[in-house]
Amino acid sequence: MSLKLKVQKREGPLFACDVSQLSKGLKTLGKERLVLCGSTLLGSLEPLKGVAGYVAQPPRSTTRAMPWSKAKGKSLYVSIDKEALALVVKARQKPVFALDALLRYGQRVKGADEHVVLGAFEGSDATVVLMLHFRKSELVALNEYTLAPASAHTFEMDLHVLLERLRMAHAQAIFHWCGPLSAPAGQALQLAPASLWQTAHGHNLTLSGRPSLLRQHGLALGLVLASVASVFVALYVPYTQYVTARDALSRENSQLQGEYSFASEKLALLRARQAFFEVSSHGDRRLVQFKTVLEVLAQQEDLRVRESQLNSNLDPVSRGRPGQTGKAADFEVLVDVPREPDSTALAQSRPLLQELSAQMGMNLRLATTDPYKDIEKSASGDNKARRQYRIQGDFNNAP
Amino acid sequence: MLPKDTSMLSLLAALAFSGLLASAGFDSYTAMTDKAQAQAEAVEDFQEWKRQYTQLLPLEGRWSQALRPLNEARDLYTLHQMLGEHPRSNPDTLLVERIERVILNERDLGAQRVCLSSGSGSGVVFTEKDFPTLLAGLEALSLRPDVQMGSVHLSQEKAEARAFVSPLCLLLRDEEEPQK
Repeated sequence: MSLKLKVQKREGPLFACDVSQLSKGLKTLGKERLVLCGSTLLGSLEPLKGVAGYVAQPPRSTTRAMPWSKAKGKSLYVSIDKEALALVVKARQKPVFALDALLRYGQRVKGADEHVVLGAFEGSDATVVLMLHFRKSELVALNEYTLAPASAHTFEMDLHVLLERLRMAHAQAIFHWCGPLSAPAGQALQLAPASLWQTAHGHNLTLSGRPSLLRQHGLALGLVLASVASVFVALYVPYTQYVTARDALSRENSQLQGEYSFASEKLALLRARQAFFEVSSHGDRRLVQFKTVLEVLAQQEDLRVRESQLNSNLDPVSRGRPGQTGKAADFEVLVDVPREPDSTALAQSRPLLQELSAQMGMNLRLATTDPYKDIEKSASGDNKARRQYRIQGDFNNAP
Repeated sequence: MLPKDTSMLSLLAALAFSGLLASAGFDSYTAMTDKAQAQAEAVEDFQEWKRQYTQLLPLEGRWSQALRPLNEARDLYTLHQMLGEHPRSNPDTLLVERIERVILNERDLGAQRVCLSSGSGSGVVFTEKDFPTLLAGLEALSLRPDVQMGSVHLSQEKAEARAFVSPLCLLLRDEEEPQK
């Protein structure tokens, strides 16, 4: 508790508690942070309406609750000195508000229901002590006290008196000392880490006091841009696939010299001609088979072929006799053989047909019209009576 | 945690816009993917077509070799010449019975069918000195893809073997063959 807070003036933040201190400090300011305090800022729990020389800033919430939460507290209204604002904006600085840093610290500190957070800043001709009173992490009161400069011999005493007065007013509260001036000796104070000033958020200030359009809408803009970009990215892949396929098609097509336009027509014609060649080769086999039939007949003893007919399978409409279902027989031959006087025409035909069928490997049958006829001796020139048969058969269609 | 000073109104508008854009983008993505897929299928179809086409292309040559062009058939005499020497037919009685387009599987093959007759009946009579010669001639005829033979009726007539082929048609291709 007795540890003294040593403010590192060189590397630590630059504290500016009035305009002259600020303008002087800005000249030498390097990369250190700038903390505004003292008369450059006004803070109040009541709305500040048009204080002359000050520009209103967006109000802060006294609690950490979300804006839509029921536990949302009141607002802390903050204004900044116009001249200080102009200097800061001109120097493109992002200053930390001492008020904000203490508010942030007080809202987060734990251990008791009541806290008093103190900050002491050295101005150019006075010491400024900022007091924030928290109850259950909610800012309920704030005040600023101006004491003699830290170098004055009355300073220590003034500070002690101030602290004693505050302790009497807030007997239950735990006191926190946030610097940057060293904590007074002999006081029971919780010392806040010096990093408090380093981690506090800086503000992008505008002369109007309202946050810049970019800060207000930047996130929305980013979201819009990101979604537009992601849509483009998502469409890029299928688009390139499409383009690739299209190019492949036109490349292939150019190889065929644009014949794709009547392609299907052409292909169908080729297919039909292929089918034509296949069909026309069937005709060959028919005639060859017919020749075999005739050869077998020619080998038969005492059998004469009078007529023979190879029926067409090209033109199914032209053939077909009444009483026959489907197509006509593949072939029909008119033969005569010596008559066997003891048997009837039909009886004689059976062994003949069986014999011929066996030799040809086909099923022969008598025609349904004019199947047989007896021919007398004179008709054929020789002395034997003959029988004439009209025989039909079908080729084996097995390939 | 949102950055300070963020305008909730514009953020909500941006969220709504992003939502709309996302749904529109998804639709476009689907459409684009479909289109790309259709295009890829078109390429595949085309390649398949090309494969079949190149495979079938030699048929062109076979077709123009097998069939004589129609303009070569100037008169009955040339038609008789096309039938060939054997089996013998009589050029004096030869008639053109009908001419029709050659259709197969409902497709015009690009050829004319010229059906001939020997005056009586719708067919052509061939005669040879004996049946083996006649049959050999008929077989040779039947092997020609440009000759279509219907039924064949064989009979002996006087000392000659006679064949009546009905119908007998010559296939003559259209002149304009697209040269490939």
